[in-house]
Amino acid sequence: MAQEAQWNREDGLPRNVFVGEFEQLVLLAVLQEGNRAAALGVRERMAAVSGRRIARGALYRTLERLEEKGYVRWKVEAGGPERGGHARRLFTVTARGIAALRSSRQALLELWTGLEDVLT
Amino acid sequence: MSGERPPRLAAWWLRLCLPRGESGASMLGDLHEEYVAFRPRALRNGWYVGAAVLLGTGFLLRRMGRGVARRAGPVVYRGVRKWRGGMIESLGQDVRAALRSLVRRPAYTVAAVATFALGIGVTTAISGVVYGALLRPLPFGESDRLVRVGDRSVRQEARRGRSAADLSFSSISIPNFLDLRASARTFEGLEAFAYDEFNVTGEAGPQRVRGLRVSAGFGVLLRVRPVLGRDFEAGDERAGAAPVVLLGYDLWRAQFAGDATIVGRTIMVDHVATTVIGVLPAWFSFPASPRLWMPFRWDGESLTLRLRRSIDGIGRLLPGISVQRGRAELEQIFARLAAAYPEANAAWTVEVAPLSSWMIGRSGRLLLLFIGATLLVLFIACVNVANLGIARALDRRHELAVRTALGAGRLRLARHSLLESMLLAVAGGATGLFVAWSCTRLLITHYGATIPRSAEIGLDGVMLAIGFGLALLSGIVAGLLPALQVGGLRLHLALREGGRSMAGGRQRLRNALVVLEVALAVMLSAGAGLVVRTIRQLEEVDLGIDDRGVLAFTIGLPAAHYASEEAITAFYATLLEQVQAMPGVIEAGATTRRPLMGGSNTFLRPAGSTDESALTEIREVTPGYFPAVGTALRRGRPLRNGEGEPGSGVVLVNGALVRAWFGDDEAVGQRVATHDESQSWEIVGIVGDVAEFGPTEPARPTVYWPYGSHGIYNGVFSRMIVLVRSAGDPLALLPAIRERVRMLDPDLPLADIATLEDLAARTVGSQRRSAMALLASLAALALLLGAIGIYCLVAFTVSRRRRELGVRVALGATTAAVSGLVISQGVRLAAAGGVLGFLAAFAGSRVLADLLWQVEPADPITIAAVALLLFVTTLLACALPARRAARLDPLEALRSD
Repeated sequence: MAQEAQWNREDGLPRNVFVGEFEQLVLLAVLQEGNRAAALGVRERMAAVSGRRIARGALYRTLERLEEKGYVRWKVEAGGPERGGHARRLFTVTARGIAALRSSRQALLELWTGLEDVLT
Repeated sequence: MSGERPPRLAAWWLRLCLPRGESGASMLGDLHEEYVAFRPRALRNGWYVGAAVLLGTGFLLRRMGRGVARRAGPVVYRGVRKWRGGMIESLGQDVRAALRSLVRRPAYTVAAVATFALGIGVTTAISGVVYGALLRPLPFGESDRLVRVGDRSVRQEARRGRSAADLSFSSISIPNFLDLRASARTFEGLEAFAYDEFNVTGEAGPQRVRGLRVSAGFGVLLRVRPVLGRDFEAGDERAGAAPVVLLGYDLWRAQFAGDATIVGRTIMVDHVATTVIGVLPAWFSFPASPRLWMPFRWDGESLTLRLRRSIDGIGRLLPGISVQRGRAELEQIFARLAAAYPEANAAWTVEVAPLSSWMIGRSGRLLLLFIGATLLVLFIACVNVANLGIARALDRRHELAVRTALGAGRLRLARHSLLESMLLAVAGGATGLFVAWSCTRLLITHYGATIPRSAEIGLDGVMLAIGFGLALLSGIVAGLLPALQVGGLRLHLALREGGRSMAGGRQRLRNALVVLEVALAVMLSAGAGLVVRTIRQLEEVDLGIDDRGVLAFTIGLPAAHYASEEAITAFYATLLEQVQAMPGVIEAGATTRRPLMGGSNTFLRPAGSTDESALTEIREVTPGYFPAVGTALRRGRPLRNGEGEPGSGVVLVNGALVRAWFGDDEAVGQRVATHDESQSWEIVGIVGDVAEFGPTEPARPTVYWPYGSHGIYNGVFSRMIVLVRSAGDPLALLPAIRERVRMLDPDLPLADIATLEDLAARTVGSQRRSAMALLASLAALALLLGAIGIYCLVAFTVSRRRRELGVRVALGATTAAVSGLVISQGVRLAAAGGVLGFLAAFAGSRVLADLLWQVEPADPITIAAVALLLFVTTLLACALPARRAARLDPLEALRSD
């Protein structure tokens, strides 16, 4: 991340952090998928909303990065024959991730304030 | 569940590349899930492989980068703390750095790219042409089993000697061919063809075109299928069958506007209504592009004439049968035929050779010579760029020393230098493709006729691959020396000295490189010079004709309209009479074979002698022929009008025949006879020798019969070459002559229109001319590159020696002395290169032996000319640096460091 993040001293959650566009999309899609957010579902939802193809590699690497930042975590459940017996990862957004999303949304909202006539 | 398993190799690739542990396993599972659900099922394997390659490769590259980074630890570069990248990242960095440093020195970059572009472009073009002409398999299916079959005269061989490389096929007689075909067991098929000319009347008026007469199975044997309509069938060959024709693609497009409904239509071929049954594919060539195919019509008499060798054979061997076995079998069969028909077949045998070697012919060695010459030019270009690169490395010693001090490894610096030259070569190669494209077009337009299979040659995938390969190769060759130099520079000294003094060892290496360049350029120039000298010599040979102001053209009278001998001879008599009467015409005559084109011959001997009969050139001529071509009568009398009657019994002969047969004896009044003395003719006059086989071949004994007297034939020729000597420009007569012909017969085209001067020029050999043009251009290119090499080195030395030169000027050296110092460096290099080059040219002149004639490898005129050219080029190359040195301001020069 290019800018220096500021961290709240009490709860350790990020403030004044702006999450990049693609990362925001991933985080929001994971939230929308609820408690069974798997990579496939996330990718489909992102593609449906954004109207563009989401590269598998980009999604996996973003999820990895978000995990390193502590915004998401995952648990594993056993996969059935439809997955060739391979495990499935289910992602959840952490409290830290939610705080970062909030902070990003706040920044956007502030920037949008007073520009309603541009939109309508 | 095996049906639901994705392709194994792709899954293995994923397992190799994806992260270990649960995250990698889950990615595999995700892809598996998508694979199972993928529709349409037929495409899912392909989809899986694509996805696996993309995903796997991405992860693999990242892992490689990280692995190296972890080992190498962080570096500080321009004040920014960074992880040193892995192989991939650092390569990217180096490419960017190399690009930056190239952009910073535009003069160097442009010079190097242009040098590479010329070298790579020309080499690509020539190798592409050679590939297309020699190495690309023939376009016919399973072409390795195709062979050319022909007769071979044992007697002619014994007389002229036979070299292994010289494939000489004579035609076969129809009954011999049919007997061979009936008995051969090692062949899938044997078919016959003959080149012929036809008058075709299409939408664009009458036209005389070259085509092939073929036996019915010819197309099947070659695996050539018509693109429209059908191939010939056995019935088309039979006497009395309805006349049919297969049109060549070009003729179909040009004369019939590519009409898709042409099949079944009737067109006029030689004044006979003929049904078009199909159109041949555009790629067909054999080895030129015949414009149409007509079936043979073998009947009555032609099936019995074993002496008339008029058709050519091709065959397809059975799978697994070697050419040697095929030849052995045909030789056995032919031996039986020779025993059965000794009068026709004694002293003959049969020849079988791969079709490809026949189609390539003698130009093969020449094209390989060109490849050698162009590779030399490419090598010179590489040496040039290498030299520039070394100069740059010396220039950048300071920078390199600093980088080494900061921890850059020698390998990395060398890699940087190599990378720079690769980038230059790739840029040069890309530009070179344009050069290659233009060169190829130039080659095909100018020399297409001498290059075998030129119709199939163009800038294609093969050429692109050649160009790309050459670019990589030359990048490495040119980059290796500077890269090694960078590795070996004593850089700590560079820092101490401030980097201005000469590095003696490097200077010697650079001198050696320039000497090598000059030597190669001189070698090429000397070769080109020898060919130029040969052509000059050939042009000075007296061909035995006076070629100024003579027009030649061919007329073929179709048998359908000119059925009787009288009609044919009457036509030519009328035509010649009318042309003779035209204003501006000095003389008009006609002959059965184009002048300066030998090859129509038979065995004759002096009547009543016991000598063996000798191969004799034969022609029929009208009385006006010799005055028209300007061949003098030496003894006796000319032919007279009215002797063109069967049985007139007179002939003219040439001087060569008299010398060979009668020595110094009086030949007029003697007789020449066929080998069995069944016919003989009285010699009434002797004409001068004409170099029918070109200036390098001595004139052969020749007999001229009066046209219409039948000679040794049973009829008269319906196809004649008319020669018209004019007082002015011969081509200016053409419209009036056309009009005369049109009034006699509106459907008759004039063909092969040329001046006798053109025909004479052709005898020098189109191969020699193309060789000269190519070698001369390559030599010029090589000299130019050599001059650039000398210029760069001398200029570089001047800039290094500024201080020393400044001291000299300050101590009173004159401008002339300073310039002389600079020029003498260049001249010394050129002289050394020149001597080496001449020695190499002398040693290597054997490869040119085919092209040279009466010119010694150590031809003094050539050596003098090339030496002068080299001297002038060197002076030009040194002029600018010498001027700069002479104008040096000593104060500024001394202050500059």
